[in-house]
Amino acid sequence: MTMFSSTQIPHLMRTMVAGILGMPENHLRVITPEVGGGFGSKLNVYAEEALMCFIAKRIGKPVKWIESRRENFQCTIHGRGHVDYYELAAKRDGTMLGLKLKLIQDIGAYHQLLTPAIPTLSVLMMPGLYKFKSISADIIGAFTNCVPTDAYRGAGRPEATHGIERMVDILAAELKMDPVEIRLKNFVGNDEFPYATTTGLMYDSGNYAAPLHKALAAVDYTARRAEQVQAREAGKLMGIGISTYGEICAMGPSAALPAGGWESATVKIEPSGQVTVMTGASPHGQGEETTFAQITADELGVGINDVMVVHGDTSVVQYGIGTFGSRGTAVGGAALFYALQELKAKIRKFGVMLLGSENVSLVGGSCVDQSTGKSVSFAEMVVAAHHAKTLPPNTQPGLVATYFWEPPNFTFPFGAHIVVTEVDRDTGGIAIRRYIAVDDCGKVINPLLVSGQVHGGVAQGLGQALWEEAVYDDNAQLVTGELTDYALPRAHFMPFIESSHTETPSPVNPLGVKGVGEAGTIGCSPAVVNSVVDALSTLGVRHIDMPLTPEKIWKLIQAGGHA
Amino acid sequence: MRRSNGVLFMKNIDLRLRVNGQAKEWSIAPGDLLLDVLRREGYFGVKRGCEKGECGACTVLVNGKAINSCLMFAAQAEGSDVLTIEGLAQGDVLHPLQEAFLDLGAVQCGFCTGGMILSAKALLDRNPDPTVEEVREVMAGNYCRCTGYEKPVEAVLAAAVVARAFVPAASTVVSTFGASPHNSQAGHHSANPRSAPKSKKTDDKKRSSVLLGGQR
Ligand code: FES
Ligand code: FES
Repeated sequence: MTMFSSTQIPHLMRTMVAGILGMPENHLRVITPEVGGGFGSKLNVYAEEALMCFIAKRIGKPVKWIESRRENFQCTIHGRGHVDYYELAAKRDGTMLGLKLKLIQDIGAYHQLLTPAIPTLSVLMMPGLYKFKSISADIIGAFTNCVPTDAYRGAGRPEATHGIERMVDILAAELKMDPVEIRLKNFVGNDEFPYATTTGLMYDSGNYAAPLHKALAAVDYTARRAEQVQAREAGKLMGIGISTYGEICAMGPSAALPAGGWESATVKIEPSGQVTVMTGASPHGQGEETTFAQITADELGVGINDVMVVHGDTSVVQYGIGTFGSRGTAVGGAALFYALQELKAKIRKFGVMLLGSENVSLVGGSCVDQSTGKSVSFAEMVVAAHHAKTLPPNTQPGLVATYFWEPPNFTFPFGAHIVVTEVDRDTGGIAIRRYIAVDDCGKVINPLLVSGQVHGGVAQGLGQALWEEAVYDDNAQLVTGELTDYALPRAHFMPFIESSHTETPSPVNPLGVKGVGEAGTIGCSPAVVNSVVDALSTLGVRHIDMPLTPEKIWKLIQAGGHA
Repeated sequence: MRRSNGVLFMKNIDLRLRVNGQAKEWSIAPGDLLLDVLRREGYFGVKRGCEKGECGACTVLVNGKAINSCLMFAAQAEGSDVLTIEGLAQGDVLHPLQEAFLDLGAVQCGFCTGGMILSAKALLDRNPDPTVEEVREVMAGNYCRCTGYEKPVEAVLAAAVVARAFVPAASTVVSTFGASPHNSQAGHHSANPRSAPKSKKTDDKKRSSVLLGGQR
């Protein structure tokens, strides 16, 4: 049976659907066509997916199932759904000591694939980038009549970041300290990595002040604060909001995931010298087809257009886990890197054989005899391996390597977002004047793709902060069941995003990368809310729950800051 | 008798139109949507994102005007010239908008891309020198969940520059996207990525990975 499904996890899909139907796993082939975005909602195995296979088997005919947009809203999963109660302990000088959280998670009506894992991630990341002596958290999972919650871009980390970054700002306001100063005071120091958090994680590497300083310089923080004083005198509501976020990415060591957290790669060098890469990660718009081709081209010394990256077909590609949790490059890319090392070692053997010298090294694609300077080309070694007229000792013909890489730890990207807003007193509308995003996702392999991930992530963060909400009526009917009702950001809503980077390599994987798919979403929402709260602080506002709709803000202003 | 959109109709009607420059004659039910007919006939670059005129993924040009094909009966297209994303490139030669979307990384998952490019084409055809705001305003009809719109907007502006450099057939224009001489036919520009040096950014995004946006 062949199943085409729009999923982030083709192999897990196959295992689970075959299990549900009681059919041999190797009789089911799952093909993921161009997926069309995932963001967590396709990190699931839905009843319809198994049902369609069941029906097809039963009637012996192909079956096609297309859900309507409304069904998609009602019958897949939603994100977030927290009610959080925080308490924070700090010294008068701004040193934070302890953080306490009661987290009520709206589970929805059913337990989906990873539902309880999401609030768990929130608790793990609740200290953010700061040092705490003690942490206490209770998670209460509440089954409700609503759509189930599960992974949505960021999955638990935007919630955690929103909580801690709001609390830091509230503390700063309470102590009349600058929100920058209080952050700098509490950051984990550069010399403290690897850093064991109170929640049991091991932060891999960091330089938390670097992106903050870069963002402050970009926005010209001192000038903006001066401008704010003037704006206030003129009766305007201008705000400056900061978030310094941390995330947990490269999901992850297998011990932490229900069905394995490794990733796989197979590299085949064809007789023509062209290279086929098969990755178990299943990218769907992140651009690993490009990133992986770059990694391969760099390692083997071949042209980027000679590399073909294949994924998303369980009958072609070796078992893999999939794309989610900012793991594609950080785990899948590392698996590819190690597979390439195995191939390089094998190619080198052919170089040794053809040059008749042990003193050789691979330079670009060729193998060079260090003593004589003689060299054999990539093509010559590839042909030698395939034609196998003579073989180096204990060496098989052909050039294929498969590597399954188990990551020793997660990675922990970080960054600083600064948002300048102006609130319209008469309408409650929020204008974003500046959006600065400085992200540190470790080593950047492809700047174009990385900035695309940041832009998209920020758009989703802005949507969450300002407009998007799943609204139910009194009968638990979802009233935001269409795209416009749900208020997805459109092109003319979006500010220009000033995106840049600092690069602190991760020691967890050989590429030094950390992952960037979710960074924008995680850094964004607290920066926006902090900015608007800052704008309204002259009215005595200390906190506003998302989304910051004009109606909500207008009512707040009308009530003189008292909700 | 045939059922279409829940309504029973006695008989099919014939639809004659031009799609991507080719004359077509299809038998359709009177209630068939243009979106459904185009997809049924293999134009998979026309996407069904909402069926309600909200997302713009189904955008095609009908007589040069960008419309949501989910809101138009196929029968209404009788005698029209329909352009889908499949018809924008001239053979292997991409339209400057397609070149710019690839070069500037404006395509991620690709689901919105076909509709977005066609909306942009309709804009550039009537306003070759749009402002950022005008581009954003027009693109507001095309939802994109992946890109945050920044790179698509940038790409439309960049393509507008190339399109404005349009000079009738005889002279040679080498654009930032490596364009060859544009042909002078109505609004179609040819750009040959193979014959001219690529901008540095071209190789940042491999073509094969992103072209698929309009292919299924
Ligand atoms: S499918 Fe036509 S606008 Fe969404
Ligand atoms: S690129 Fe994915 S929706 Fe636009």
